[in-house]
Amino acid sequence: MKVGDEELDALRELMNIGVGRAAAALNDMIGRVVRLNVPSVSLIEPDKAGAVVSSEHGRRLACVRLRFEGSVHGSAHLIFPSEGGSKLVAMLTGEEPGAPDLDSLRAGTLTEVGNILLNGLMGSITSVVQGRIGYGLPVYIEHSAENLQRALCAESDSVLLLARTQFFLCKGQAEVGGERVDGEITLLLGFDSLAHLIERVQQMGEEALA
Amino acid sequence: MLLESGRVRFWNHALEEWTGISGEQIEGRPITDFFDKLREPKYVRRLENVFQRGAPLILSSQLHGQVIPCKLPGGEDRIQHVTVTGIPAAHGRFAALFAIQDVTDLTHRVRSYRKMRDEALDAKAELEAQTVRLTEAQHELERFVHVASHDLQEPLRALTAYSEFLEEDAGDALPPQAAPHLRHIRKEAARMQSVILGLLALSNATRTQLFPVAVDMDECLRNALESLSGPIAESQAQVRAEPLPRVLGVQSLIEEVLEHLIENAIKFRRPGLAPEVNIWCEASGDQWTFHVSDNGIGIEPRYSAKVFEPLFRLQSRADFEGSGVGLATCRTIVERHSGQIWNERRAPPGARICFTLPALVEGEDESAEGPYDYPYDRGQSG
Repeated sequence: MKVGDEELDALRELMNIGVGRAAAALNDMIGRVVRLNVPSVSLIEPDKAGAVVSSEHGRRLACVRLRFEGSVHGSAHLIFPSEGGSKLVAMLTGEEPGAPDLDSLRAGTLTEVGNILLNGLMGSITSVVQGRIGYGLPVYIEHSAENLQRALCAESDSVLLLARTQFFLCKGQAEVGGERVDGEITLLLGFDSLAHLIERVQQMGEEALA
Repeated sequence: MLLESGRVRFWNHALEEWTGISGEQIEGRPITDFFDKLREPKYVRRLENVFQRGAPLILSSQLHGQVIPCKLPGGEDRIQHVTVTGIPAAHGRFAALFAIQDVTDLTHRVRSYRKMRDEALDAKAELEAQTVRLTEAQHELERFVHVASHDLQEPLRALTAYSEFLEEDAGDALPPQAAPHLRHIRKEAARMQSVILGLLALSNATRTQLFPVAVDMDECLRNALESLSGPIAESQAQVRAEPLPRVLGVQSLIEEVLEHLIENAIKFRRPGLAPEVNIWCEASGDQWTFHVSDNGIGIEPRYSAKVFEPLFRLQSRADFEGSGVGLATCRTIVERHSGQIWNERRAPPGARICFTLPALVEGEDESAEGPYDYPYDRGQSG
Protein backbone atom coordinates (compact mmCIF):
# COMPACT_ATOMS: atom_id res chain seq x y z
CA MET A 1 0.00 0.00 0.00
CA LYS A 2 1.51 3.28 -1.09
CA VAL A 3 0.72 6.33 1.01
CA GLY A 4 2.24 9.39 -0.57
CA ASP A 5 1.75 13.09 -0.06
CA GLU A 6 -1.33 13.10 -2.27
CA GLU A 7 -3.04 10.48 -0.12
CA LEU A 8 -2.05 12.28 3.08
CA ASP A 9 -3.45 15.53 1.69
CA ALA A 10 -6.70 13.77 0.89
CA LEU A 11 -6.84 12.34 4.41
CA ARG A 12 -6.17 15.80 5.83
CA GLU A 13 -9.05 17.21 3.80
CA LEU A 14 -11.28 14.41 5.05
CA MET A 15 -10.36 15.22 8.63
CA ASN A 16 -10.87 18.93 8.08
CA ILE A 17 -14.38 18.23 6.80
CA GLY A 18 -15.06 16.13 9.87
CA VAL A 19 -13.72 18.68 12.36
CA GLY A 20 -15.54 21.41 10.46
CA ARG A 21 -18.81 19.67 11.31
CA ALA A 22 -17.62 19.37 14.89
CA ALA A 23 -16.89 23.10 15.00
CA ALA A 24 -20.46 23.82 13.87
CA ALA A 25 -21.80 21.61 16.67
CA LEU A 26 -19.60 23.40 19.23
CA ASN A 27 -20.76 26.78 17.86
CA ASP A 28 -24.36 25.68 18.42
CA MET A 29 -23.67 24.65 21.97
CA ILE A 30 -21.81 27.60 23.34
CA GLY A 31 -22.95 30.47 21.17
CA ARG A 32 -19.43 31.51 20.23
CA VAL A 33 -17.57 31.05 17.01
CA VAL A 34 -15.33 28.00 17.22
CA ARG A 35 -12.90 27.23 14.44
CA LEU A 36 -11.12 23.93 14.18
CA ASN A 37 -8.24 23.38 11.85
CA VAL A 38 -6.11 20.36 10.98
CA PRO A 39 -2.98 21.86 9.45
CA SER A 40 -1.06 18.61 9.06
CA VAL A 41 -1.50 14.85 9.06
CA SER A 42 1.21 12.22 9.31
CA LEU A 43 1.32 8.44 9.28
CA ILE A 44 3.35 6.82 12.05
CA GLU A 45 4.01 3.30 13.18
CA PRO A 46 2.56 2.91 16.69
CA ASP A 47 5.90 2.05 18.28
CA LYS A 48 7.21 5.42 17.13
CA ALA A 49 4.14 7.33 18.33
CA GLY A 50 5.48 7.77 21.84
CA ALA A 51 8.34 9.96 20.70
CA VAL A 52 5.90 12.35 19.05
CA VAL A 53 3.36 12.30 21.87
CA SER A 54 5.95 12.64 24.66
CA SER A 55 7.98 15.34 23.01
CA GLU A 56 4.97 17.37 22.00
CA HIS A 57 2.90 17.16 25.12
CA GLY A 58 5.10 16.87 28.19
CA ARG A 59 4.26 14.48 30.98
CA ARG A 60 0.53 14.39 31.67
CA LEU A 61 -2.07 13.97 28.92
CA ALA A 62 -5.86 14.07 28.83
CA CYS A 63 -7.32 11.69 26.26
CA VAL A 64 -10.82 10.89 24.99
CA ARG A 65 -10.94 7.55 23.19
CA LEU A 66 -13.63 6.18 20.88
CA ARG A 67 -13.37 2.61 19.66
CA PHE A 68 -15.09 1.52 16.48
CA GLU A 69 -15.43 -1.60 14.36
CA GLY A 70 -17.12 -2.67 11.16
CA SER A 71 -16.06 -1.67 7.65
CA VAL A 72 -13.08 0.00 9.34
CA HIS A 73 -11.84 -0.85 12.81
CA GLY A 74 -9.60 0.83 15.32
CA SER A 75 -9.84 3.69 17.76
CA ALA A 76 -9.84 7.45 17.59
CA HIS A 77 -8.29 9.65 20.28
CA LEU A 78 -8.44 13.31 21.11
CA ILE A 79 -5.33 14.19 23.11
CA PHE A 80 -4.45 17.33 25.03
CA PRO A 81 -1.83 18.15 27.62
CA SER A 82 -3.78 18.34 30.90
CA GLU A 83 -3.25 22.09 31.12
CA GLY A 84 -4.45 22.56 27.54
CA GLY A 85 -7.55 20.47 28.19
CA SER A 86 -8.34 22.48 31.29
CA LYS A 87 -7.87 25.72 29.36
CA LEU A 88 -10.15 24.52 26.57
CA VAL A 89 -12.89 23.60 29.05
CA ALA A 90 -12.54 27.00 30.71
CA MET A 91 -12.81 28.68 27.29
CA LEU A 92 -15.96 26.73 26.44
CA THR A 93 -17.71 27.12 29.79
CA GLY A 94 -16.60 30.69 30.43
CA GLU A 95 -15.37 29.83 33.94
CA GLU A 96 -12.13 31.15 35.43
CA PRO A 97 -9.28 28.79 34.48
CA GLY A 98 -8.02 28.54 38.08
CA ALA A 99 -5.64 25.65 38.73
CA PRO A 100 -4.90 23.57 35.60
CA ASP A 101 -6.08 20.21 36.94
CA LEU A 102 -8.92 18.37 35.23
CA ASP A 103 -11.43 17.46 37.92
CA SER A 104 -14.34 15.13 37.17
CA LEU A 105 -16.64 17.93 35.96
CA ARG A 106 -14.07 19.23 33.53
CA ALA A 107 -13.26 15.69 32.44
CA GLY A 108 -16.96 15.24 31.62
CA THR A 109 -16.92 18.37 29.50
CA LEU A 110 -13.77 17.31 27.70
CA THR A 111 -15.39 13.93 27.03
CA GLU A 112 -18.24 15.72 25.31
CA VAL A 113 -15.80 17.78 23.24
CA GLY A 114 -14.06 14.55 22.26
CA ASN A 115 -17.41 12.99 21.45
CA ILE A 116 -18.33 15.87 19.13
CA LEU A 117 -14.95 15.97 17.43
CA LEU A 118 -14.50 12.24 16.98
CA ASN A 119 -18.11 11.80 15.85
CA GLY A 120 -17.52 14.51 13.24
CA LEU A 121 -14.39 12.75 12.09
CA MET A 122 -16.03 9.33 11.97
CA GLY A 123 -18.94 10.87 10.12
CA SER A 124 -16.52 11.94 7.39
CA ILE A 125 -14.86 8.54 7.30
CA THR A 126 -18.18 6.72 7.22
CA SER A 127 -19.30 8.79 4.23
CA VAL A 128 -16.17 7.64 2.37
CA VAL A 129 -15.90 3.97 3.30
CA GLN A 130 -19.68 3.40 3.45
CA GLY A 131 -20.74 0.22 5.19
CA ARG A 132 -21.66 -0.03 8.87
CA ILE A 133 -19.50 1.02 11.78
CA GLY A 134 -20.34 0.22 15.41
CA TYR A 135 -19.08 2.42 18.24
CA GLY A 136 -18.07 2.04 21.84
CA LEU A 137 -18.74 4.79 24.35
CA PRO A 138 -16.27 7.68 24.47
CA VAL A 139 -13.97 7.13 27.41
CA TYR A 140 -11.94 9.78 29.25
CA ILE A 141 -8.46 8.72 30.33
CA GLU A 142 -5.69 10.72 31.93
CA HIS A 143 -2.30 9.24 31.12
CA SER A 144 1.33 9.92 31.41
CA ALA A 145 2.81 10.21 27.93
CA GLU A 146 4.67 6.94 28.53
CA ASN A 147 1.46 5.03 29.34
CA LEU A 148 -0.31 6.48 26.34
CA GLN A 149 2.53 5.37 24.13
CA ARG A 150 2.30 1.90 25.63
CA ALA A 151 -1.45 1.78 24.92
CA LEU A 152 -0.92 2.83 21.31
CA CYS A 153 1.94 0.39 20.76
CA ALA A 154 -0.21 -2.50 22.00
CA GLU A 155 -2.01 -2.58 18.64
CA SER A 156 0.78 -4.23 16.69
CA ASP A 157 -1.10 -4.69 13.41
CA SER A 158 -2.12 -1.05 13.18
CA VAL A 159 -0.89 2.25 11.93
CA LEU A 160 -1.33 5.66 13.52
CA LEU A 161 -2.73 8.65 11.70
CA LEU A 162 -1.64 11.72 13.65
CA ALA A 163 -3.46 14.97 13.01
CA ARG A 164 -2.41 18.23 14.66
CA THR A 165 -5.60 20.07 15.63
CA GLN A 166 -5.99 23.73 16.48
CA PHE A 167 -8.98 25.01 18.43
CA PHE A 168 -9.72 28.70 18.00
CA LEU A 169 -12.35 30.15 20.26
CA CYS A 170 -13.45 33.60 19.18
CA LYS A 171 -15.07 36.25 21.33
CA GLY A 172 -18.84 36.06 20.98
CA GLN A 173 -19.86 35.91 17.34
CA ALA A 174 -16.79 37.77 16.10
CA GLU A 175 -14.71 35.74 13.73
CA VAL A 176 -11.35 37.24 14.54
CA GLY A 177 -9.33 37.42 17.72
CA GLY A 178 -9.85 35.01 20.62
CA GLU A 179 -7.81 32.20 22.08
CA ARG A 180 -6.21 29.04 20.82
CA VAL A 181 -5.57 25.60 22.25
CA ASP A 182 -3.64 22.92 20.38
CA GLY A 183 -4.33 19.23 20.61
CA GLU A 184 -3.99 16.10 18.55
CA ILE A 185 -6.38 13.66 17.00
CA THR A 186 -4.96 10.22 16.43
CA LEU A 187 -6.63 7.47 14.46
CA LEU A 188 -5.31 4.03 15.19
CA LEU A 189 -6.39 1.95 12.20
CA GLY A 190 -5.78 -1.65 11.33
CA PHE A 191 -3.61 -1.98 8.23
CA ASP A 192 -6.54 -3.36 6.26
CA SER A 193 -8.79 -0.52 7.43
CA LEU A 194 -6.25 2.08 6.36
CA ALA A 195 -5.85 0.33 3.02
CA HIS A 196 -9.61 0.33 2.52
CA LEU A 197 -9.85 4.02 3.45
CA ILE A 198 -7.01 5.03 1.12
CA GLU A 199 -8.49 2.98 -1.67
CA ARG A 200 -11.87 4.66 -1.27
CA VAL A 201 -10.27 8.12 -1.10
CA GLN A 202 -8.38 7.40 -4.32
CA GLN A 203 -11.51 6.10 -6.01
CA MET A 204 -13.43 9.21 -5.04
CA GLY A 205 -10.61 11.36 -6.37
CA GLU A 206 -10.71 9.53 -9.70
CA GLU A 207 -14.51 9.81 -9.87
CA ALA A 208 -14.28 13.53 -9.22
CA LEU A 209 -11.78 13.97 -12.05
CA ALA A 210 -13.75 11.84 -14.47
CA MET B 1 -35.44 5.29 25.24
CA LEU B 2 -36.35 7.61 22.41
CA LEU B 3 -37.38 6.54 18.94
CA GLU B 4 -36.31 8.41 15.84
CA SER B 5 -39.82 9.81 15.64
CA GLY B 6 -39.20 11.61 18.89
CA ARG B 7 -41.63 9.44 20.80
CA VAL B 8 -40.72 7.90 24.11
CA ARG B 9 -40.36 4.15 23.91
CA PHE B 10 -39.47 3.55 27.56
CA TRP B 11 -39.48 5.71 30.74
CA ASN B 12 -37.95 4.11 33.82
CA HIS B 13 -38.88 4.33 37.47
CA ALA B 14 -36.09 6.76 38.33
CA LEU B 15 -37.35 9.26 35.76
CA GLU B 16 -40.89 8.81 37.09
CA GLU B 17 -39.61 9.82 40.52
CA TRP B 18 -37.50 12.70 39.26
CA THR B 19 -40.11 14.22 36.96
CA GLY B 20 -43.39 13.16 38.52
CA ILE B 21 -44.40 11.93 35.07
CA SER B 22 -45.37 8.28 34.93
CA GLY B 23 -44.42 5.88 32.17
CA GLU B 24 -48.08 5.54 31.28
CA GLN B 25 -48.38 9.29 30.71
CA ILE B 26 -45.31 9.71 28.52
CA GLU B 27 -44.58 6.45 26.73
CA GLY B 28 -45.74 6.60 23.13
CA ARG B 29 -45.88 10.40 23.13
CA PRO B 30 -43.36 12.90 21.70
CA ILE B 31 -40.91 13.86 24.42
CA THR B 32 -41.11 17.47 23.31
CA ASP B 33 -44.72 17.53 24.52
CA PHE B 34 -43.23 17.47 28.02
CA PHE B 35 -39.74 18.91 27.66
CA ASP B 36 -39.08 21.82 25.31
CA LYS B 37 -35.33 21.64 25.62
CA LEU B 38 -34.99 18.72 23.21
CA ARG B 39 -36.64 20.82 20.48
CA GLU B 40 -33.54 22.99 20.29
CA PRO B 41 -31.67 22.54 16.99
CA LYS B 42 -28.40 21.74 18.71
CA TYR B 43 -29.94 18.65 20.33
CA VAL B 44 -31.94 17.69 17.25
CA ARG B 45 -28.82 17.74 15.07
CA ARG B 46 -26.74 15.74 17.50
CA LEU B 47 -29.48 13.18 18.10
CA GLU B 48 -29.71 12.74 14.34
CA ASN B 49 -26.21 11.20 14.47
CA VAL B 50 -27.48 8.66 16.94
CA PHE B 51 -30.56 7.74 14.93
CA GLN B 52 -28.66 7.62 11.64
CA ARG B 53 -25.33 6.01 12.55
CA GLY B 54 -25.74 4.77 16.11
CA ALA B 55 -22.88 7.09 17.17
CA PRO B 56 -22.76 7.77 20.92
CA LEU B 57 -23.64 11.17 22.34
CA ILE B 58 -22.38 12.83 25.52
CA LEU B 59 -24.13 15.82 27.10
CA SER B 60 -21.96 17.08 29.95
CA SER B 61 -23.32 18.80 33.04
CA GLN B 62 -21.06 21.84 32.67
CA LEU B 63 -22.32 22.67 29.18
CA HIS B 64 -25.98 21.61 29.51
CA GLY B 65 -26.91 21.61 33.19
CA GLN B 66 -30.10 19.60 32.72
CA VAL B 67 -31.40 17.73 29.70
CA ILE B 68 -34.60 16.51 31.37
CA PRO B 69 -35.44 19.49 33.59
CA CYS B 70 -36.40 18.33 37.07
CA LYS B 71 -35.91 19.36 40.65
CA LEU B 72 -34.46 17.77 43.75
CA PRO B 73 -36.79 17.47 46.77
CA GLY B 74 -35.33 20.71 48.15
CA GLY B 75 -36.24 22.60 44.99
CA GLU B 76 -32.73 22.76 43.53
CA ASP B 77 -32.21 21.83 39.87
CA ARG B 78 -31.03 18.26 39.35
CA ILE B 79 -27.73 18.60 37.48
CA GLN B 80 -27.24 15.82 34.91
CA HIS B 81 -24.54 14.10 32.87
CA VAL B 82 -26.15 12.25 29.95
CA THR B 83 -24.81 9.42 27.78
CA VAL B 84 -26.84 8.36 24.75
CA THR B 85 -26.13 5.16 22.86
CA GLY B 86 -27.63 3.87 19.64
CA ILE B 87 -29.78 0.74 19.86
CA PRO B 88 -30.32 -0.98 16.50
CA ALA B 89 -33.83 -0.44 15.21
CA ALA B 90 -35.61 -1.15 11.94
CA HIS B 91 -34.18 -0.44 8.46
CA GLY B 92 -30.60 -0.01 9.63
CA ARG B 93 -31.47 2.96 11.84
CA PHE B 94 -31.17 3.30 15.58
CA ALA B 95 -33.13 4.29 18.66
CA ALA B 96 -31.52 6.45 21.34
CA LEU B 97 -31.03 5.00 24.82
CA PHE B 98 -30.53 7.81 27.37
CA ALA B 99 -28.58 7.09 30.56
CA ILE B 100 -29.04 10.14 32.80
CA GLN B 101 -26.74 10.49 35.80
CA ASP B 102 -27.56 12.86 38.67
CA VAL B 103 -24.29 14.73 39.35
CA THR B 104 -25.72 17.46 41.60
CA ASP B 105 -23.87 16.29 44.68
CA LEU B 106 -20.68 15.70 42.73
CA THR B 107 -20.93 19.19 41.26
CA HIS B 108 -21.25 20.79 44.68
CA ARG B 109 -18.34 18.79 46.05
CA VAL B 110 -16.11 19.65 43.12
CA ARG B 111 -16.98 23.33 43.42
CA SER B 112 -16.26 23.26 47.17
CA TYR B 113 -12.96 21.53 46.51
CA ARG B 114 -12.05 24.10 43.85
CA LYS B 115 -12.87 26.94 46.24
CA MET B 116 -10.78 25.40 49.02
CA ARG B 117 -7.93 24.67 46.66
CA ASP B 118 -7.94 28.19 45.21
CA GLU B 119 -8.02 29.70 48.70
CA ALA B 120 -5.16 27.46 49.79
CA LEU B 121 -3.13 28.39 46.70
CA ASP B 122 -3.81 32.09 47.30
CA ALA B 123 -2.80 31.74 50.95
CA LYS B 124 0.35 29.90 49.94
CA ALA B 125 1.24 32.57 47.40
CA GLU B 126 0.65 35.31 49.97
CA LEU B 127 2.75 33.45 52.53
CA GLU B 128 5.58 33.06 50.05
CA ALA B 129 5.39 36.73 49.17
CA GLN B 130 5.40 37.65 52.86
CA THR B 131 8.36 35.39 53.49
CA VAL B 132 10.26 37.09 50.68
CA ARG B 133 9.37 40.52 52.10
CA LEU B 134 10.35 39.48 55.62
CA THR B 135 13.62 37.99 54.45
CA GLU B 136 14.46 41.15 52.54
CA ALA B 137 13.53 43.29 55.53
CA GLN B 138 15.65 41.14 57.80
CA HIS B 139 18.64 41.40 55.46
CA GLU B 140 18.18 45.14 55.32
CA LEU B 141 18.01 45.38 59.10
CA GLU B 142 21.14 43.31 59.57
CA ARG B 143 23.01 45.34 57.03
CA PHE B 144 21.88 48.51 58.80
CA VAL B 145 22.89 47.23 62.25
CA HIS B 146 26.28 46.20 60.98
CA VAL B 147 27.00 49.42 59.13
CA ALA B 148 25.61 51.63 61.90
CA SER B 149 27.62 49.77 64.55
CA HIS B 150 30.80 50.24 62.58
CA ASP B 151 30.07 53.89 61.86
CA LEU B 152 29.26 54.70 65.49
CA GLN B 153 32.53 53.36 66.89
CA GLU B 154 34.75 56.02 65.39
CA PRO B 155 32.95 59.00 66.98
CA LEU B 156 32.89 57.15 70.30
CA ARG B 157 36.62 56.59 70.20
CA ALA B 158 37.06 60.30 69.43
CA LEU B 159 34.78 61.24 72.33
CA THR B 160 36.77 59.11 74.79
CA ALA B 161 40.13 60.28 73.46
CA TYR B 162 39.34 64.00 73.51
CA SER B 163 37.83 63.87 76.98
CA GLU B 164 41.16 62.37 78.13
CA PHE B 165 43.14 65.02 76.22
CA LEU B 166 41.02 67.72 77.82
CA GLU B 167 41.67 66.35 81.31
CA GLU B 168 45.41 66.01 80.63
CA ASP B 169 45.89 69.34 78.84
CA ALA B 170 43.64 71.54 80.98
CA GLY B 171 44.75 69.85 84.24
CA ASP B 172 44.38 72.26 87.21
CA ALA B 173 42.72 74.85 84.98
CA LEU B 174 39.52 72.79 85.05
CA PRO B 175 37.01 73.51 87.81
CA PRO B 176 36.86 70.75 90.48
CA GLN B 177 33.54 69.35 89.27
CA ALA B 178 34.85 69.02 85.68
CA ALA B 179 36.99 65.91 86.27
CA PRO B 180 34.10 63.69 87.51
CA HIS B 181 32.02 64.92 84.56
CA LEU B 182 34.75 63.95 82.12
CA ARG B 183 35.12 60.55 83.79
CA HIS B 184 31.36 60.10 83.52
CA ILE B 185 31.53 60.98 79.81
CA ARG B 186 34.23 58.32 79.29
CA LYS B 187 32.27 55.78 81.29
CA GLU B 188 29.09 56.33 79.23
CA ALA B 189 31.12 56.22 75.98
CA ALA B 190 32.61 52.91 77.11
CA ARG B 191 29.14 51.59 77.89
CA MET B 192 27.88 52.66 74.49
CA GLN B 193 30.87 50.96 72.88
CA SER B 194 30.05 47.80 74.81
CA VAL B 195 26.48 47.89 73.48
CA ILE B 196 27.70 48.51 69.93
CA LEU B 197 30.20 45.65 70.15
CA GLY B 198 27.43 43.45 71.51
CA LEU B 199 25.17 44.40 68.60
CA LEU B 200 28.01 43.78 66.18
CA ALA B 201 28.57 40.35 67.71
CA LEU B 202 24.84 39.62 67.40
CA SER B 203 24.87 40.80 63.82
CA ASN B 204 27.89 38.65 63.01
CA ALA B 205 26.30 35.65 64.68
CA THR B 206 23.34 36.08 62.34
CA ARG B 207 25.33 36.71 59.20
CA THR B 208 28.29 34.39 59.46
CA GLN B 209 28.23 31.54 56.98
CA LEU B 210 28.06 28.18 58.67
CA PHE B 211 30.40 25.37 57.72
CA PRO B 212 29.69 22.88 60.50
CA VAL B 213 32.42 20.46 61.45
CA ALA B 214 33.09 18.19 64.40
CA VAL B 215 33.64 20.40 67.45
CA ASP B 216 35.20 19.26 70.73
CA MET B 217 33.14 20.91 73.49
CA ASP B 218 35.91 20.36 76.04
CA GLU B 219 38.23 22.42 73.84
CA CYS B 220 35.56 25.11 73.43
CA LEU B 221 35.24 25.28 77.21
CA ARG B 222 38.99 25.53 77.68
CA ASN B 223 39.19 28.41 75.20
CA ALA B 224 36.23 30.20 76.78
CA LEU B 225 37.79 29.89 80.26
CA GLU B 226 41.08 31.21 78.94
CA SER B 227 39.30 34.30 77.52
CA LEU B 228 37.66 34.82 80.92
CA SER B 229 40.77 34.18 83.00
CA GLY B 230 40.80 37.77 84.26
CA PRO B 231 37.20 37.90 85.57
CA ILE B 232 37.53 34.34 86.92
CA ALA B 233 40.60 35.22 88.93
CA GLU B 234 39.17 38.54 90.11
CA SER B 235 35.90 36.96 91.34
CA GLN B 236 37.59 33.75 92.56
CA ALA B 237 35.01 31.85 90.54
CA GLN B 238 34.97 28.03 90.55
CA VAL B 239 34.05 26.43 87.22
CA ARG B 240 33.40 22.67 87.30
CA ALA B 241 32.55 20.65 84.20
CA GLU B 242 31.93 17.00 83.38
CA PRO B 243 33.60 15.58 80.28
CA LEU B 244 31.78 17.05 77.31
CA PRO B 245 31.09 15.37 73.96
CA ARG B 246 31.78 16.32 70.37
CA VAL B 247 29.04 18.10 68.43
CA LEU B 248 28.44 19.30 64.89
CA GLY B 249 28.84 23.04 64.62
CA VAL B 250 31.09 26.07 64.27
CA GLN B 251 33.72 26.17 67.01
CA SER B 252 34.17 29.92 67.35
CA LEU B 253 30.43 30.49 67.66
CA ILE B 254 29.99 27.73 70.25
CA GLU B 255 32.92 29.15 72.25
CA GLU B 256 31.12 32.48 72.17
CA VAL B 257 28.02 30.86 73.71
CA LEU B 258 30.00 29.29 76.54
CA GLU B 259 31.91 32.53 77.12
CA HIS B 260 28.71 34.59 77.43
CA LEU B 261 27.04 32.09 79.77
CA ILE B 262 30.05 31.75 82.10
CA GLU B 263 30.62 35.51 82.00
CA ASN B 264 27.00 36.08 83.05
CA ALA B 265 27.34 33.52 85.85
CA ILE B 266 30.38 35.45 87.15
CA LYS B 267 28.84 38.90 86.63
CA PHE B 268 25.44 38.24 88.18
CA ARG B 269 26.83 36.76 91.42
CA ARG B 270 25.47 37.31 94.91
CA PRO B 271 27.30 39.94 96.93
CA GLY B 272 29.95 38.36 99.10
CA LEU B 273 29.63 34.93 97.47
CA ALA B 274 32.22 33.56 95.08
CA PRO B 275 30.57 32.37 91.86
CA GLU B 276 30.25 28.62 91.33
CA VAL B 277 29.53 27.43 87.83
CA ASN B 278 28.66 23.83 86.95
CA ILE B 279 28.54 22.52 83.39
CA TRP B 280 27.23 19.12 82.34
CA CYS B 281 25.34 17.52 79.50
CA GLU B 282 22.96 14.71 78.65
CA ALA B 283 22.08 12.93 75.42
CA SER B 284 18.60 13.54 73.98
CA GLY B 285 17.99 11.76 70.69
CA ASP B 286 20.20 13.21 67.97
CA GLN B 287 21.17 16.15 70.14
CA TRP B 288 23.11 16.99 73.29
CA THR B 289 21.55 19.14 75.99
CA PHE B 290 24.08 21.28 77.85
CA HIS B 291 23.41 22.80 81.27
CA VAL B 292 25.24 25.83 82.67
CA SER B 293 24.12 26.52 86.24
CA ASP B 294 25.40 28.99 88.82
CA ASN B 295 24.76 30.14 92.39
CA GLY B 296 24.10 33.76 91.46
CA ILE B 297 21.09 36.04 91.69
CA GLY B 298 19.05 33.95 89.23
CA ILE B 299 16.38 34.94 86.72
CA GLU B 300 12.77 35.50 87.71
CA PRO B 301 10.59 32.91 85.95
CA ARG B 302 8.39 35.58 84.39
CA TYR B 303 11.40 36.93 82.51
CA SER B 304 12.60 33.53 81.31
CA ALA B 305 11.78 34.27 77.68
CA LYS B 306 12.47 38.01 77.64
CA VAL B 307 16.08 37.66 78.83
CA PHE B 308 16.94 36.25 75.40
CA GLU B 309 15.73 39.41 73.63
CA PRO B 310 18.35 41.94 72.46
CA LEU B 311 19.01 44.85 74.86
CA PHE B 312 16.65 43.48 77.52
CA ARG B 313 18.18 44.02 80.96
CA LEU B 314 16.87 42.36 84.09
CA GLN B 315 19.15 44.31 86.44
CA SER B 316 19.94 48.01 86.47
CA ARG B 317 23.06 49.23 84.80
CA ALA B 318 24.18 50.78 88.02
CA ASP B 319 24.36 47.35 89.67
CA PHE B 320 25.65 45.29 86.76
CA GLU B 321 27.55 46.34 83.67
CA GLY B 322 26.81 44.81 80.30
CA SER B 323 25.51 45.40 76.77
CA GLY B 324 22.28 43.44 77.18
CA VAL B 325 22.83 41.38 74.03
CA GLY B 326 24.82 38.41 75.39
CA LEU B 327 21.91 35.99 75.78
CA ALA B 328 20.35 37.22 72.52
CA THR B 329 23.62 36.36 70.78
CA CYS B 330 23.62 32.93 72.43
CA ARG B 331 20.10 32.30 71.20
CA THR B 332 20.96 33.33 67.64
CA ILE B 333 23.99 31.05 67.58
CA VAL B 334 22.20 28.06 69.12
CA GLU B 335 19.18 28.43 66.80
CA ARG B 336 21.43 28.62 63.76
CA HIS B 337 22.77 25.25 64.91
CA SER B 338 19.15 23.98 64.86
CA GLY B 339 19.16 23.96 68.65
CA GLN B 340 17.16 25.57 71.42
CA ILE B 341 18.14 27.61 74.46
CA TRP B 342 16.11 28.32 77.55
CA ASN B 343 16.23 29.31 81.20
CA GLU B 344 15.42 26.24 83.29
CA ARG B 345 12.69 27.49 85.61
CA ARG B 346 12.90 24.56 87.96
CA ALA B 347 16.51 25.30 88.81
CA PRO B 348 17.39 25.99 92.48
CA PRO B 349 18.49 29.52 93.49
CA GLY B 350 20.81 30.81 90.80
CA ALA B 351 20.26 30.45 87.09
CA ARG B 352 20.48 27.41 84.87
CA ILE B 353 20.69 28.07 81.15
CA CYS B 354 20.23 25.01 78.96
CA PHE B 355 20.92 24.70 75.28
CA THR B 356 20.99 21.92 72.67
CA LEU B 357 23.41 21.24 69.84
CA PRO B 358 23.39 18.50 67.16
CA ALA B 359 25.24 15.35 68.18
CA LEU B 360 28.05 14.10 66.04
CA VAL B 361 27.56 10.48 65.09
CA GLU B 362 30.92 8.74 65.36
CA GLY B 363 32.12 7.30 62.10
CA GLU B 364 30.06 9.78 60.11
CA ASP B 365 31.69 12.30 57.80
CA GLU B 366 32.97 15.00 60.13
CA SER B 367 32.09 17.98 58.00
CA ALA B 368 28.75 18.82 56.57
CA GLU B 369 27.24 21.28 54.16
CA GLY B 370 25.97 24.12 56.26
CA PRO B 371 22.82 26.16 55.92
CA TYR B 372 24.01 29.24 54.09
CA ASP B 373 22.34 32.13 55.88
CA TYR B 374 22.84 35.74 54.86
CA PRO B 375 26.50 35.57 53.87
CA TYR B 376 28.14 38.87 54.75
CA ASP B 377 31.79 38.41 53.89
CA ARG B 378 32.98 35.20 52.37
CA GLY B 379 36.37 35.75 54.02
CA GLN B 380 34.80 35.92 57.46
CA SER B 381 34.31 32.61 59.23
CA GLY B 382 32.93 31.59 62.52
